[in-house]
Amino acid sequence: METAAFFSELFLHSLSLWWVIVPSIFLGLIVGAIPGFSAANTIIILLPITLVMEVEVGLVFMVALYCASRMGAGIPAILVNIPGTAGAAATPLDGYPMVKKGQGQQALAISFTSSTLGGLLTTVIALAMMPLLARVGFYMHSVEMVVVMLFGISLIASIASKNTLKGLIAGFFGLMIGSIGADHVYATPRGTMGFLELYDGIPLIPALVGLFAISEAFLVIEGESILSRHAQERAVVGSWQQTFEGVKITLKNWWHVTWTSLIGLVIGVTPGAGAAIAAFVAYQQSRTFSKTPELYGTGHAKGLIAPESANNGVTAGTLIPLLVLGIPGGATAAIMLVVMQYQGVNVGPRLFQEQPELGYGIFMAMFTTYLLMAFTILPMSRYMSRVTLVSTTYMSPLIIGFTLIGSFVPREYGFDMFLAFAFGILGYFARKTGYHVAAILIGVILGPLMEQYMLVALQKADGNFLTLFSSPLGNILWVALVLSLALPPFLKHRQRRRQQTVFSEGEG
Amino acid sequence: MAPTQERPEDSQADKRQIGGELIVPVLALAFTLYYIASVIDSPWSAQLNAFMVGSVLIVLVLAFFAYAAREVLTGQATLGASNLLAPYAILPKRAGFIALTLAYLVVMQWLGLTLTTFLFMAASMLLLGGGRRPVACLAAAAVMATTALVVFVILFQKRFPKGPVEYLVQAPWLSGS
Repeated sequence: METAAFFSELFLHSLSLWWVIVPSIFLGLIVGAIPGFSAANTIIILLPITLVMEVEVGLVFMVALYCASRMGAGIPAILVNIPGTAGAAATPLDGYPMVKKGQGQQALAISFTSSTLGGLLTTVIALAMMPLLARVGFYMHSVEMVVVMLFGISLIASIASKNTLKGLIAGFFGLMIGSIGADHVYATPRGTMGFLELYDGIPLIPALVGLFAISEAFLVIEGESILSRHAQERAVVGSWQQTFEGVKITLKNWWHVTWTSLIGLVIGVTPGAGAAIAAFVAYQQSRTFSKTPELYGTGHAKGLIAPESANNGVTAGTLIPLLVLGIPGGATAAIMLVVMQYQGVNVGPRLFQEQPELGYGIFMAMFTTYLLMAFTILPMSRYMSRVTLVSTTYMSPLIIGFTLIGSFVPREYGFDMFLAFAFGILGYFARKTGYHVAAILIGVILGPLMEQYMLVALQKADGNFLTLFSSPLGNILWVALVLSLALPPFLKHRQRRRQQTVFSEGEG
Repeated sequence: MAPTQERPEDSQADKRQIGGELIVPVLALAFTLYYIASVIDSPWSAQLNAFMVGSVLIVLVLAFFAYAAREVLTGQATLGASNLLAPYAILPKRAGFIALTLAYLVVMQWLGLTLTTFLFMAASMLLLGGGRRPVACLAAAAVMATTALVVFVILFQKRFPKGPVEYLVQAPWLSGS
């Protein structure tokens, strides 16, 4: 009873901070939608303001900005195929094909609803199971992380199912490109072509915007609009019905939202793992266990729900190691730690004993942010989707200009703009000749992480590869990986054989 | 019904054109060989990916080349690349647009972010629109260039290449500081 009273009081208190949360939501949406910008670097820019705020207000501001930027990154990813951050890289796989079919409004509604539900659900679970979840990070060592990465990378195999050889070439080419840069142990430059700018590896934003957006801008000039004539007619007469339809579809898939957001929560809890891994793993799992895997990539609602729920599940997960153990799980969490330390707040177990209203209050603020986002952002889907009606005469140059400028922003190297252009040309060739750009991108994003964890694991075991099968949790994950790859084709084969038997018996 | 006589040029046109499909594997193979060469004398930790991923990629590419060669030799495909260039009606526009994009990146270091963005936007929109609605094109280009200046240069103070507009706008700010 006391606990319920405590949490309801916290909820009402965080609601009273709406004047911080609502502006932060809009700022976060804008920041998330600009390629190259993230909640982390916006918070850094606004750090002087955050430090003079009252600690509680400053933290609520950062949390709201963080959650909203995650949702904001999905908007350009869906509407114009520009994932603003690596966490939104899996969103256009089904979001953009929905837009092309004239279902942009519905796609946005699905994205907003699944993000909100995923965020709300994982926040509640985080509040309830915080001590238990905080320990997940202790069990996830390099060996286990290698298997988690393989879950994401195995999505290449799923994508390759339409044309195995081409899909695998694209995926492995992406993994090779992802290997560019100094090696993790001796800092030996590899495949850098003499460019100092590549010593830190391939920067993600130029790769993201080049492969998805710039190549798309070169392609869509073939038509007057990115939409077909039928889709245009559908988009022009857009009504609230499409938004409600999107909400209905997401609510109908509540179980899908639940388990994909849980994937995000667990991956988010692991320090160093991020939203990109969560989104790809969730998409891969969603496709693997789907009865209609062939619909993925064609504008399938579940293909949009999975990455959006997962990357919003990560937000709650990232805060758990920070608050419970004092270990920041990502860039934004690290900046929050700086602010809290500056204000004299002790993170770790003492936070929940000495200042429970602040420790639990941060999660409650996250809950309130997601709740307020549902009411403030969802109605905007109808108007945002009108962007897709802009003629390609204006749209293509705008996409190119916007994304090239965005690729400069994170590192402020002119080189990155040329790199984005080069990826755009590669993406154009790939799309025109039937290679999947998403397969290349998965390799570029997950390849370096996979190599890093693999090297750590091997170094600990003096180069013995059997170490990859030495941990009980790792072995459970290996079995799960093998099952998730082998079961669907096996079940499909058995179903086909059963159908053939029934057919031949019928003929007999 | 009598079978229709197929003209040789028709059957040639119907064949799958596989030349364009070879670009990505060729790039992948060339890059992998270069990558392996760049790590050949490095410690094992630097070579791990080159051999684990690179060797598989080489096998995949060679398998694709073998498949392509079989298709061409059996007459099922040609080495043409029309799928890469089609539709031909849009080809000059597309080539011009790509050239303008490259020019945008090259010229930016001299003319600065704002002016180059305006020129690139206006030129691209006029090119893609066939010179129609010039006022709308210029207005859209001006809005985009101004937004870039306000958001990235003035507000977030990103170090984009500076040109006449940036110096003009930043002068009062600098003198004020």
